[in-house]
Amino acid sequence: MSNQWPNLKKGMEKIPVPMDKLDLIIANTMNEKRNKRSKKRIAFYSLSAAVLGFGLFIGSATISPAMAKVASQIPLIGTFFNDVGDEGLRIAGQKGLTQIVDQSSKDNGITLTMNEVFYDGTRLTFGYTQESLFAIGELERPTIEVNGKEINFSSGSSGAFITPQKYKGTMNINPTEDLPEAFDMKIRIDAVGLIPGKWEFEFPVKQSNEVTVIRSQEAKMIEQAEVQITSVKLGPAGTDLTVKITMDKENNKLDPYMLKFYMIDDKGNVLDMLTGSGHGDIENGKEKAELDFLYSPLKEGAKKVRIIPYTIPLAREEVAMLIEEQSLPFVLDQGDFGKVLITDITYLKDKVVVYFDVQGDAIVDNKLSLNSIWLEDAKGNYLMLEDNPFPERIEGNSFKQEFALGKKEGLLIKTNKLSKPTTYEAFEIELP
Amino acid sequence: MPDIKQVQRAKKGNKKAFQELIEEEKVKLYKIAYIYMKNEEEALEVFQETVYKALNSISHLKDERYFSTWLTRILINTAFDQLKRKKKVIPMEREILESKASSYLLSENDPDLLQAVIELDEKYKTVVILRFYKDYTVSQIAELLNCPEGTVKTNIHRGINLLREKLKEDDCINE
Repeated sequence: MSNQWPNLKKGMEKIPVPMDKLDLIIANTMNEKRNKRSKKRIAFYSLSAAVLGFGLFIGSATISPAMAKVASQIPLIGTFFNDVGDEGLRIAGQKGLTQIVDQSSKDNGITLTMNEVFYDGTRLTFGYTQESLFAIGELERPTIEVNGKEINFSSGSSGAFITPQKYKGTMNINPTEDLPEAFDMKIRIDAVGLIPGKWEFEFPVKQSNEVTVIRSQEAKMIEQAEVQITSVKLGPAGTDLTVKITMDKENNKLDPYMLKFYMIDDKGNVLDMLTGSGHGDIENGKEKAELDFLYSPLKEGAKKVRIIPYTIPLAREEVAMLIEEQSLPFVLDQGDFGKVLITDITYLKDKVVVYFDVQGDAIVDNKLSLNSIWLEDAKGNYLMLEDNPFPERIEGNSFKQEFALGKKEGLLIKTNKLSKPTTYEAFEIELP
Repeated sequence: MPDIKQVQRAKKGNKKAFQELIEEEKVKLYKIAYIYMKNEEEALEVFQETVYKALNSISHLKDERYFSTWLTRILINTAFDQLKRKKKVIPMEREILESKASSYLLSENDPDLLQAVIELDEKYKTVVILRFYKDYTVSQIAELLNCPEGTVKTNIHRGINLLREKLKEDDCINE
């Protein structure tokens, strides 16, 4: 065995390397920077509520034939967003603020249907379905024209198979520039998963309702970088935050693309971040970055919102504790970030409920997106409850989270050790 | 070992220098991404994300000597994020895709060391790759993963044992 060790390098030689593709990626990435066309999204936090909730409910349909039957009977037209996990989209769907498109395009045995679109100035989201004989992967990044002119944007998508042949997906589009209130949109998709083809859609889009836009000129210096909140847009489906960062390109104290923001209303509600993207360039020795974040909608009656900039290093270390070796309550150490005190674990017929308190001074959102906890069984299966993957805030920093039932023996509770976020002076925005 | 002056040039915004540095590392980066993602499409995604993040943050690299380690750390974190996302979103889809896209997978019947490494749990896989493919020392790995050297040693040891067991099992099957 030991004499095989030098052969790990040899073994790695077996992995075929698509050199052309690597070269193309490198060249494209370099060009994007140079041409200020950040076609590639910077996916900061794709682990979004939208992705999780939506993906999981639908995901379960592919596992159980019974569920597949149920899911396939869900009418998609007009109610596309009504059951998604993304709170904002769900509200928009239920309030009837989405526009029905219902256009189909077929190529290479794959039928794509653009079902619904939602646009309100804070977000532009398509709901689509794809049907094919075999399960195929996600859509390639589309080419989008607005009033006949190609736009630049970042995008994020999520979805899952509702039957083995039918995939229901949503795609969030973040244009790098504001779009008009009404426009004609043309979407072209050149590939679905590994299958090339041509699928085209053309339809009018209209802003669904008035969105409150708060423009701000307030800037703060953070690590010698000028950070300016350029706008906060309040809509029923989400809260959009745009930030401009200008700094010397020599400044190595801050990576502008790593700066994130907590949004907290005057009642202490922390908004959940749904997506984030950024693009930028270096001009005259200055690095200029524009960041765009989408959060859950503000609660009614909020009068003020605090926007707290923060950074957190990427490094994290997974930690696990064998539940059967612990006696309640016990502590799950999250390193400098804080601790989680597990107060109770209830084993029900069909699920396990973990009650816990998050301890420490770090700000945490409702989904505990930075410091989640999870259960794994002895075989390494991730015991997430598919239709309810998030914790629920009971009160203050007390939470409960439900997990799928796993074999009690060898059950592990896991989390990550991570650094405490470094927070900076908050921006305070009065709401109209 | 990358040329320190070249890293300094890249840090100052010289894109050609950055590109050349990435060229040197690309094959190893891709292969490590492949070990985690197990298919070409997703390994390319991780590679792309890594190059993009690195380009955007090279000016913040503190010590030029650690360019390669820094880049590897970005790659591994990106792969972990991707895996976590996949795990939570649509676990079935990847299985289906993997079963269809067989040309992108290594032979499942090839009971070799590489296959055994691919099948290792992520925490063991990471230390095994860093130690035996990237030739990092235990202390370099500990720094890269931000965890105690003792944990690294233990995980390397366990990783080796798991590989040994796996290869033994495969030998038995072949017999």
